[in-house]
Amino acid sequence: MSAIEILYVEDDPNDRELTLRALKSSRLKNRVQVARDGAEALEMIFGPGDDGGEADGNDLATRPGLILLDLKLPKLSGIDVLRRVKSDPRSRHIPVVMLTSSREEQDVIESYELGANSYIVKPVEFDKLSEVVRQLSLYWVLLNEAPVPPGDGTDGDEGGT
Amino acid sequence: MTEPSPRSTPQPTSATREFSPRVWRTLFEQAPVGIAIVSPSGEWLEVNGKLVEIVGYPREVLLGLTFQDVTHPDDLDADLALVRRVLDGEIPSYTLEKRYVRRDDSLVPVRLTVSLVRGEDGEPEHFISVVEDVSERREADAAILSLQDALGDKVAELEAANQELESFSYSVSHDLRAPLRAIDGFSRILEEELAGQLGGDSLRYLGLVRQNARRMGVLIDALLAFSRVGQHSLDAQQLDLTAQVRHVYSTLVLDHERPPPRLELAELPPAEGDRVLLQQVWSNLLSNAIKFSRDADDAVIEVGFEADGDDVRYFVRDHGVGFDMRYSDKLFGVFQRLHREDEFEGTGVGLALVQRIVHRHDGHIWADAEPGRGATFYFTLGSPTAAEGKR
Repeated sequence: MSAIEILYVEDDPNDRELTLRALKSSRLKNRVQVARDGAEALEMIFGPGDDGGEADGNDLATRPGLILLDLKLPKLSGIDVLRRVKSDPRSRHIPVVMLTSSREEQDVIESYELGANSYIVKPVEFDKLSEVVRQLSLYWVLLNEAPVPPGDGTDGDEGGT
Repeated sequence: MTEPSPRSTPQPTSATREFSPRVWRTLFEQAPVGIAIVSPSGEWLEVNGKLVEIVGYPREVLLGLTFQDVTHPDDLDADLALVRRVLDGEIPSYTLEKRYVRRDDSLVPVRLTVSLVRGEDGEPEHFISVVEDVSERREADAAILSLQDALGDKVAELEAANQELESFSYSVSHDLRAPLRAIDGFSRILEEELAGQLGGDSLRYLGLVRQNARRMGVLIDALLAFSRVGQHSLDAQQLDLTAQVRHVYSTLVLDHERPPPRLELAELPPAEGDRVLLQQVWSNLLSNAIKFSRDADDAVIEVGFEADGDDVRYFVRDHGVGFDMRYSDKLFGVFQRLHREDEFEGTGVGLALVQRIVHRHDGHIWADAEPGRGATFYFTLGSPTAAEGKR
């Protein structure tokens, strides 16, 4: 079981607060780690000073079990984070749920093309947001089977179970 | 002795009225086009004033030259080939555009019509050449080309501006929604946490804050959709409109609390159009019909068409609250409404959006209604590809 179950990446402090409150009512708040921008998110996934190298000293087991990712982030965008996560063998198995205010078709298509597992549009109404978060958590944390992370890949071998 | 060639130019007959040589001379000299009499081997035998002006040599000098001498070398071969064919009797005359080289070495573009006068024995006697200076027309053509260039530039500018507007709308809608979420969210939390402590009015005010935040969200979405109709390039396909209406209607009534109005849908003739945009048209018209039928029990919404030869009018008809035709010119205005917000909610953008889409399909939309009896919205769809060509 991952130490960080849910990595929530969101730069807007208001959105963060509201979503965390919603997660709290789903009793998931203590399993959530927050990254405030794309760079922080990557550090939390790959370890500090992430540079794509293999020797990161970070045990695979501590990688998040689910990533909730906003699109509009300063510095590294949500798309950039998604691309990084889904192209790295150490992390590409992690389910990524886009949680964003954009309903633009191009964003949806691009996200799925890069391997997003789900795309949810943040509702304006808080009641609806709470309901969305509740259903999200129920599905991804309780219902969904998490993938078994690949081997012990610190030297890059794609291990079996 | 050969017979006179039947394909030479008509010769004057005795039936033609004869005029004095002085009359013919005046005709020759006064003509506003250049006229010349040329020998079969090309020598200028007689030239009128206009021709001298066009070719740019003094008369005396010209009469010692041939037309080959003053024709632009690149145009000469074509000219001579046609001369050959006339001399051979293959064609009676020819017209050619070519250039003369003036004495000052400047070029003049001309249109030349040459015919051959044969003698009684059928042998070539003289060429008659009529020469028109076409430099003005060439200038006009060049002006048109440069106007087209300028137009092309303007179009490129407009397209760039459109792109900017599109990305502006995109970021605006993103950026505006975030504070709305915060307003609604924190008001809701206040409502929850202070429910026990706040008096009725205070709670109501909080509710109004949230309601308005939601309304603003709806308005932003509507405006964004409206502006994007202009940007979205039309993807014209053959569409099964009946299936589209059925699909849209079933989605619209999914969340309905009370039994939704019954849909009477005729088999609609297929049409060519943009699937996404036309879906929006049906969605807006049908949701209006549903909304304004709210107060009627056993409401019916009819969707059908009327055909007038090749012209097809689609319609959406409800028997709900209707509207006063006196205000019908406001129907399709942006943010214009014919009902108060407390009577029926709405943004005032839906019909403006529908009109915009219908116009982009080269069609028309209009409505007919009576207060208390319902409303019928009619629209036609032209050829979307033709409409795009006009843009």
